[in-house]
Amino acid sequence: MAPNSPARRRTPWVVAALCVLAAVLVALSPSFGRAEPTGEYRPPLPADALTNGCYPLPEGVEFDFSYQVRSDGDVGGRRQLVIQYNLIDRDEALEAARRAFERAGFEEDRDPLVSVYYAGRDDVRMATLTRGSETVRVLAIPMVPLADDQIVRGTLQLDLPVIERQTDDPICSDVESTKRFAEADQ
Amino acid sequence: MTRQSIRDAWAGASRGTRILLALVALHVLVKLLLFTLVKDIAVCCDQVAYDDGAKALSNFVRDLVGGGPVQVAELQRNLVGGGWFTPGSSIMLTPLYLLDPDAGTTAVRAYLGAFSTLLLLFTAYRVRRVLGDLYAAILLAVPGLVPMYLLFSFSAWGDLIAGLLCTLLLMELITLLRTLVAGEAPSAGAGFRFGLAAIAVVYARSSTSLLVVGMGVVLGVTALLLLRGRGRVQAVLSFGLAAVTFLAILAPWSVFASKTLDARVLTTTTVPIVLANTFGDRDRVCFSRCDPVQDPGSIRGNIWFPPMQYSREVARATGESEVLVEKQMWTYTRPSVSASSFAEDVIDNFGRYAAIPASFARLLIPADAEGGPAYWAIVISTYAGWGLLFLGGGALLLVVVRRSTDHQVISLMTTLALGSLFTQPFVHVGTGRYWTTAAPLLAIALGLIVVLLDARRTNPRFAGGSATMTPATASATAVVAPAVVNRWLTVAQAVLAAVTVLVVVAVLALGLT
Repeated sequence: MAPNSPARRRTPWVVAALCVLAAVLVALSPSFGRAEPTGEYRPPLPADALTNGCYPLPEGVEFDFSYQVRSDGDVGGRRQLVIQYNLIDRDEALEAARRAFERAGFEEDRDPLVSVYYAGRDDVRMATLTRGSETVRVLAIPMVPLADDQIVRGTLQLDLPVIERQTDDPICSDVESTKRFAEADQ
Repeated sequence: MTRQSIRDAWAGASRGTRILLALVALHVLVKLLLFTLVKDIAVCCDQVAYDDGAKALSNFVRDLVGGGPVQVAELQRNLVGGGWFTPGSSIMLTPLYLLDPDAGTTAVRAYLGAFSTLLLLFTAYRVRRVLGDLYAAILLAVPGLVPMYLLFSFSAWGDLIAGLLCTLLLMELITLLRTLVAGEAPSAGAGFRFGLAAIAVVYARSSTSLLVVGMGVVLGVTALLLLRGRGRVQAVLSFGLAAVTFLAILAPWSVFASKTLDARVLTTTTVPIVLANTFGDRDRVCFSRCDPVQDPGSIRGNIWFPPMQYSREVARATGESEVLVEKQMWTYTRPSVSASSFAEDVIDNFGRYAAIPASFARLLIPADAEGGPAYWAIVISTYAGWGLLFLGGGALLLVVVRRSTDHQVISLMTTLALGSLFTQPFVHVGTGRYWTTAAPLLAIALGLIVVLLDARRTNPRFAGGSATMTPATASATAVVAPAVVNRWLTVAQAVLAAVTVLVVVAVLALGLT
C-alpha cells in the first residue's frame, strides 16, 4: 500500500470508529440482560456409587482409603464390584479393605493375603471374609506397569452378596453414578 | 456513491480487480444460498462449548462494566471447562451475546457467517497485496466457493477461522522474510503484527501451535544469519516485540486455565487424552476401559467425555489435579502403542483428515435435505474443490523451486506451514473438518504451482506476477550474497521434500505390513 493511498489514510478512522462502537456496545451490554450458558461441556460429577445411597456396601462397611468405582452389577447371583485404589500399594489396599469388613463384624476365614493365581498372574492377592451367611471375597490386582509416582495403583475386585436397590432416588437410574452399565444395556 | 461512479470505477478497474470482485460476489451469493439450509440448525458438539464460553465471557464483560460481582465459577465451567479448547471461538462470538444475550440459532449462524466472510475477504486482500491477484483469486475460488467450506463458515468450530488466520500469519512471515532477504531489519510494527497474528492463530485452534512456533524459529534464525550489526539488533528487538505481544495476550488465558484446573496449562490440556484415545489400547485409557459412551446421539455422546469424567473422579478421590491424572493415563496407555499400530492409526487419521471433506454436511443441513439434490450438489462439488486443492496444492510439498528467491521463499514457507498442519494425524483422531484449516494455505500452494507451470510456457501470463521483492536499499546490511541465499533456499526445500517422502514411505511401510 502506498504511504499516502486513500485506503491507508482511512485506516485510522476505521479503527477509531470500530473502537467507539465496541465501547458503546460494552457500556450498554448490562442493560440487555444476562446470557445463560448451559455448562454441558463440564457436566457435574456424578455422586460416588458406594455413597449415593443406591447400592451401598454390606451394612456397616465403609472404605477409608481413596478409590473410584469402575463397575458394579450382579452376575450369577453374586454382586461383582470393581474399584480402583489410589496412592497405596496392593497389600495396604487389601489390608484396608479387610479392616473395613472386620469393623462391620466380618471375620477372615483364611490366612490373610492369600496368594492366588489369577488371569495368568502371580502378583494377585485375595482375602475371604464371612459374617453369618454373608461371604465376601476381595482380589487385589496391582497395575502393570506401576510407576513410583502413579496415582491409580491397582484394582480391587469384590465378590459380594447381592444387594437390592435401597431407594427410589432418580440418581439410582444414572449409570454414570451407579456404574451399573451392564444392567443398563439389557 | 452513484450508479455512474460505480460504473466508472468498474470500467477503470483492472481485469484482475474485476475477476476478484466477481468472485467475491459469487462467494456471497453461494453463502446466502447455503444460509437458507443452515440457519435453523442448532449448534452441536464442540460448538456448544464455544457457545457457552461466549455467553460466559459476555456476562464477564457485563459484570466488569456493571460493577457487579464477577461470576468466576460460571467462567471457569463454561470457558475453561476441562481445558480442551483455547478461547478464540468464544471470543469471536462474544460481541453477539453482548448485544443480544438470548441470541437464537439463526442469529448465531448469521453472525458466524458474516464474521468468516469478512475474515476471508480481509485475508484475500492481504494475499493480493503480498502475493498478487492470482493467489487471491484462487483463495476466493477454492476454498472460497467450496460449499462444505462455506457451510463450516457458519459454524463455531475454530478450524476454518484458524486456517484463515494461519494464512494471514503466512503473509506476515513472507513479508518479513522479504525484508530480511533484502538485507533490511524488520520494523517494530511488523514485529507487532506478526506476534498479534501468531497469538490469534493459537487462540483459534491450539493444534496450530507447532506451525506458529516453527514460523517464529524460522524468522529468528533467518534474521541472525542474514543480518549483522545494527540491523541484527533491530531485528532482535522487533522479534522480541513479537514474542512479548504473543506472550502478553496468551498469559491471561494460561493463568486463568491453570488456576481453574490446578495445573500448569499453557494452551490446552488435551494432548495426553488425545494421544491415549487415538493410539492407545482403549482397554487401558482409564487404567481400565473407560465408562461406555452414554447417549451416542447427545452432546456428550463422544469418546472424549468418559476419560475427562474419570480423571475428575480420581481427582475428587485423591485431591490431585485432573490434568496430572490425564497425563498418567497416557503414560499407562503408551506401552500398548507399537510402531506399526501407530502407523496404522496415522494412516486411518490421515484418511479421515483428507478423504471425507463433506462428512459434516449432515450436521449443518436439515435432516430432510440429507440425500436430496442440494446435499449431493454440496458433496460432489466439495470433493471436486477439495480434491483440486489437496492434490494440486499438496504437490508443492514435493516441489523444489530453484528460480527467483521470492518464489523460493513462498514455496518454503507455505511448505513449512502445510507440513506442520499435516502433523495433526500424527497426534489426533482425524475428522472431516480439520481440512478447513489447511484449505486456504493449500490455495496459496496451488497459486504457486500455477505460477510455476505458467512460467514454463513461451509467453507466461503471470510473468513476474504481482509478487515482488523489496529491493535492497542503500541502508541494507546484507552480508550474504543473493546467490548464496538462493542456494540455501534450494537446499532447505530439498531437505523438506525428502523428509516428506521419507515420512510417507515409513508410515506406509509400517502401517500396511
